[in-house]
Amino acid sequence: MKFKRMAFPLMLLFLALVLSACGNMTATQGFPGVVVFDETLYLSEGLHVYAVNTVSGQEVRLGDAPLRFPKESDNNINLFAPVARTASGQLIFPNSHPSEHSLYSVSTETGAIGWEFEKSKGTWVAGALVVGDDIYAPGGDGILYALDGNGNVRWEVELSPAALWSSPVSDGELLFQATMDGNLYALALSNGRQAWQLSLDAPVVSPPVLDGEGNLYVGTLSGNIYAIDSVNGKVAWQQKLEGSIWGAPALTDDRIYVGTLYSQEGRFYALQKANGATIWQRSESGSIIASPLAFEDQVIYVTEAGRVQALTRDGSPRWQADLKGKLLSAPAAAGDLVIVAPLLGDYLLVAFDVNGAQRWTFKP
Amino acid sequence: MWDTLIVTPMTNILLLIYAFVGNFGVAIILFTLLIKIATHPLMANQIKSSARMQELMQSEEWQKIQAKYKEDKEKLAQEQMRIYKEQGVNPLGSCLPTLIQLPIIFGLYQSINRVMGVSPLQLIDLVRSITDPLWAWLGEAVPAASLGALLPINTQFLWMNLGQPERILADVLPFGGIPTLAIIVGLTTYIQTKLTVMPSANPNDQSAQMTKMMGIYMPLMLFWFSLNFASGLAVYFIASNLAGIAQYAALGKVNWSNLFSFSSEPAKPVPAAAGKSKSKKQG
Repeated sequence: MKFKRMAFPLMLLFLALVLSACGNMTATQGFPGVVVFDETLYLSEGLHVYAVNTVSGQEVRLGDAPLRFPKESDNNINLFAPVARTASGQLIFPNSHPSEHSLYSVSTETGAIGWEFEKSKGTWVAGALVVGDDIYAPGGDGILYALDGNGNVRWEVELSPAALWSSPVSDGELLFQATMDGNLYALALSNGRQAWQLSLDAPVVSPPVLDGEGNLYVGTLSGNIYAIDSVNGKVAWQQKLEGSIWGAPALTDDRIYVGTLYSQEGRFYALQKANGATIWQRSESGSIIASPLAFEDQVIYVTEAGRVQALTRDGSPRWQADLKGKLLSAPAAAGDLVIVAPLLGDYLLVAFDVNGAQRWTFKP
Repeated sequence: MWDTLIVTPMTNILLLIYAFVGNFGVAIILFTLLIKIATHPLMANQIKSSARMQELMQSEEWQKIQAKYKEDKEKLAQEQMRIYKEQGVNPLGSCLPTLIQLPIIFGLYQSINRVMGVSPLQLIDLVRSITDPLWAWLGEAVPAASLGALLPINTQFLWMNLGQPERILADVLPFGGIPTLAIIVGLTTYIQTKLTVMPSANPNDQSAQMTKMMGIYMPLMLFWFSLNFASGLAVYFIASNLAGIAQYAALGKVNWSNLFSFSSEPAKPVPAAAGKSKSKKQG
């Protein structure tokens, strides 16, 4: 009888667990943020930011302890936005927990928090841009915050009623910020004054990419890719692709590489930079969410199905690897290595050389 | 399969409602009501079957065989089956509609969660639902339901951001403010459970104990959910609770006397067709 009395609460507990699994609202569900500075890769993996040496694949250590934030996992800390690093060596990254909205500054020398910026009221998704020691942080409340190296607000500007999901980019004078309500803003880096604004056809999740000639390239969720003059915001050309563009395009001298999410599948395009015309395209059985990587004489993209695919300039397969887990984060170049970060895989990081040979894996 | 058959269609219907009303909170309420109306025949069947089962279990014959064969479980089961057969009661009659409704409830929950698209993985699923080849025509036929027009979903409703757990006076009060919506969820769940409890002949029998526990744990569980999860789900819980009470009321099965009854005495049965006899008198 006692067991039977317990059966109902246990059933409810089970239901609670099932619903929690369906909802997963206690933690924001993102995918790993990967960024490389010199020989150190910073991986924002949900519970921690890890610092990994790109040559050895070993965690960077400060004395006896690894350089890891937080030291112990904390249910109120959820990290997946890519880390930024200031000139003075602070690591800047947000907490993406749904109800905790801090932007942290952590010292690379001590691993301790220098300051926390807590003014934003929404869930942080995007990583910050750092120019020198100045920080430009796109908030979950639709406000772009410009902070100095001590976390003090220099200026702020509300760009959208929706959260800002993409990181800004800058040419040193202007800062370019895309929004989820489909706008692209150019703001003065010094004071946030608007230089121009352009309405696009759909939300933009990834940051725009700036080339050496002052052109911006940005893709939208409706599958349009735009080339825009960064000086005046005029559209040079636009091209409709099959599927939704999630990841930022990768640029070479004369080409744009970009992948799309097309239902459960993916499409990968090589476009002419001058006019957006398709040079070649490939279909993939897994969606292409992440930005590709133009690396030496090849282009590498990853798919949600766990494939790492390297192609030559003419679109022929060069090498490929299939990993366990989903590949949703852009591959990172580190020296002569390409590093990918599977979500729900056997390892948090896997490094390949230019011929596709696996060089090391990382799992803490 | 689950996603194609249940979650994606539900997500797109919810998005279509949102496209027309332009308010996600209202869309959740209308969608919940729509699902309640669509599943009402199942619910009505379940309520009727439960009532018949309760009536049967309170009958003299049932009580007699319980006492007579309490040491012989096999014989008791045989006798129970005989009575079910004679009375034309299907012992699974109240379970089957619930089982059929369960996938709908889970699907509804998942689709609301997905549409809020508050995290990258949720947004990927949402984009996938909108651009699903089976549903993409909808965006072409109804421009307001196209991806560009729908996204980002405006999650502001009354004073709440439906993508965030709700609190009021969070800036003024310690402990992060008052979770108004979670409290309303707990209260409406408690009221619904109290009002819709079927009477039991014996407060000590297993089903009565389970009902009693449900009246305690269910409001607490949903309160906890609403405290921690996006408030869009709390709006769904409240709409669902109120619609559930309305369903029972429409069938004349609301047990108003139970609302303030805290004793372990047998619950008072709902007078048969109470609503009908009243209206006759008035007429």
